[in-house]
Amino acid sequence: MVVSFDGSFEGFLTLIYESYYQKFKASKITTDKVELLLTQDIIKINSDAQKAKKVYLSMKKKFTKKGFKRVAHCFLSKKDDFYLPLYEYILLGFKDCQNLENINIQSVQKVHEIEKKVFRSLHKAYGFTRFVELDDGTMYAKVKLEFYLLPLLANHFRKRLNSCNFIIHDVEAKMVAWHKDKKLEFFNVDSFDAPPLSKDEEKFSRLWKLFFESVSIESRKNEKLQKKMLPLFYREFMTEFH
Amino acid sequence: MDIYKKLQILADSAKYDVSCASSGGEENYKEGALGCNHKSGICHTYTSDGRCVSLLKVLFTNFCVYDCSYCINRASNDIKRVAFSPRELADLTINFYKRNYIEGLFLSSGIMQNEDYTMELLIKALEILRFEYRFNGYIHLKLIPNASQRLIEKAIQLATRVSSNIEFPSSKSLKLLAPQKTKESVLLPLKTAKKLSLQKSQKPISMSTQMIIGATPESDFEILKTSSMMYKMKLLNRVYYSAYIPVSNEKNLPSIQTKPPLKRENRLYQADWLIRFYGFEYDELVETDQNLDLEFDPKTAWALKNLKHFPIEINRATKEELIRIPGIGIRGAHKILKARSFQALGFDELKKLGIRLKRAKYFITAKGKYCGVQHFYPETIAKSLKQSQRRQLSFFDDATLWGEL
Repeated sequence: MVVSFDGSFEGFLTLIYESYYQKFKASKITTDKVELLLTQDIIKINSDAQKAKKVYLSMKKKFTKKGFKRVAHCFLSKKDDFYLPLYEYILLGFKDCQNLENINIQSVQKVHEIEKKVFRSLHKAYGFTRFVELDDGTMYAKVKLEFYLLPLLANHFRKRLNSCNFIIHDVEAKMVAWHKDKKLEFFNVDSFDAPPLSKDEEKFSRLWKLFFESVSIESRKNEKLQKKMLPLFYREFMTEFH
Repeated sequence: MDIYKKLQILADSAKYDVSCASSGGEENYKEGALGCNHKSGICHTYTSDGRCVSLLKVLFTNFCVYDCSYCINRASNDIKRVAFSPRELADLTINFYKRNYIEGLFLSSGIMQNEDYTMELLIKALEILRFEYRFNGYIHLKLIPNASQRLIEKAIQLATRVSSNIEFPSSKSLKLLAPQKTKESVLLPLKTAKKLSLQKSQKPISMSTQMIIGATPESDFEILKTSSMMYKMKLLNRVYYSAYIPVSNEKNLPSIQTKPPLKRENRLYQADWLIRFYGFEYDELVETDQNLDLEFDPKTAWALKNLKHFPIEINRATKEELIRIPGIGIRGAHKILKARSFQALGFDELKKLGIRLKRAKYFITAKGKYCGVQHFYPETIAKSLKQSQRRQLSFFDDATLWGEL
């Protein structure tokens, strides 16, 4: 059975609800518009906050804590390859929450893998994000992320730069996380023109580039390895590569 | 002299120092502070030779009154000498940290005027960071040998991790090459740190050391024995091994043309890892007064010599046995343990789990089935392993050499 939903987390949980009560089993899950699909048997799911909430609460009750969190972590992915495995994962979890750790089952393993990928990418963002200092002392970072990681990333820097005001700007998602006077908030932004830089900014970015070059060992040059550890994707906003 | 030139010189003199890890610390978030450690360490960038950069690793100064013949900063060497001021160094650290260039500071130093004078300058820099800037991030300080007890104690309170370089596993080599250092003077700072960290009111402090490989005749056996003893005494959390890079034509040292023994260094790290996390004893891995096998990694070399324990049935083996299988690490063992609690595992299941079987297959059975070689002898297994190793790309080797240490 092909099932279509709106791509939202709420929609997905509604899908689980309907699948359970209407007793159908999805074999393909898509977010394409129904009119565009030629197949006959399509179930279209309409997001329903009540139904989604029920599923959410019963997962929270029945699943292990780890198994429950994994569901949300998958939804940070920007790809759509996780819908079907996650659907099966949740149904298996309702049968027996032990199943959520049984990596012999393909869909469960896939869900575990997606979660790992999300965390790996988050860990990279922890290291590769670069801030510049604005003239009012606020630290400002532009980022591009493989997944919807801005809230997790901002929380990491909330702990780390707790005494500073900072802005992290996800240029693709058009969102900013703003940490101001110890409070962290999120906004949608269409465009964002950063105010002028502080007078020290150039000095320290120059010093950093200098340090970066000084610690490289010329006789052991291995750019292939460098590219493997730090793919070009991440370098766009990194000070030392400009 | 301007700060740019200073940084260039003092970063350059510290770059061969191997330890760069910021991992192992606990998360220590404090409201209103700047900086928080991360449990697994974070790489902030990679150099063009592919090494991870995690810390601002610099010398405070390259002035030095000591004349250790293996060291580029020895008093008798004719090089340009500079020093940071404590304020300069603290500003550099804070500003790098705020921009998320680094995870923290790794501070080491030559000895200017005398040991206590130098130690006081280092402490001053750390005090500015901790008290004035309320910096709560990672600081690794290399303690100055022969500094007074009082200053060592003070420094330990300020750092996240401290270290003192043993340099060589025997006092004989130390005496020959670093006449101003003694075994006592390099061990005392570590002992003090341990004593302090046992006092209940203190935060635990983690400690490390560095040994230079290939400058002196000690065997891997002696080196690993020294490390093991230090681990057992809980004097250290970590030993770093640094392949000697020739810097002078001193008669007691290998000639200046000698290539640094990087492969040997790599093998020592692997063996050290096995001792710390895999339950191996040093004398299982290397025979008396011998070096580690350069052709095979220490675990594979051990397995080939101890085939009587193999093949191991992966559905029955304990965790301790699983992690002794070449090619299976802690993570792989956990996966197997988790998966097999639901069903018996055959080779297909192992593959689906993503267990790398290239090396492991010679040493295991799955549901009683063996998929390795036709004749179960060390020679035949070694031959097959060699053939598959040759097919590996060379940069995978480098990755293990230069990953975050």
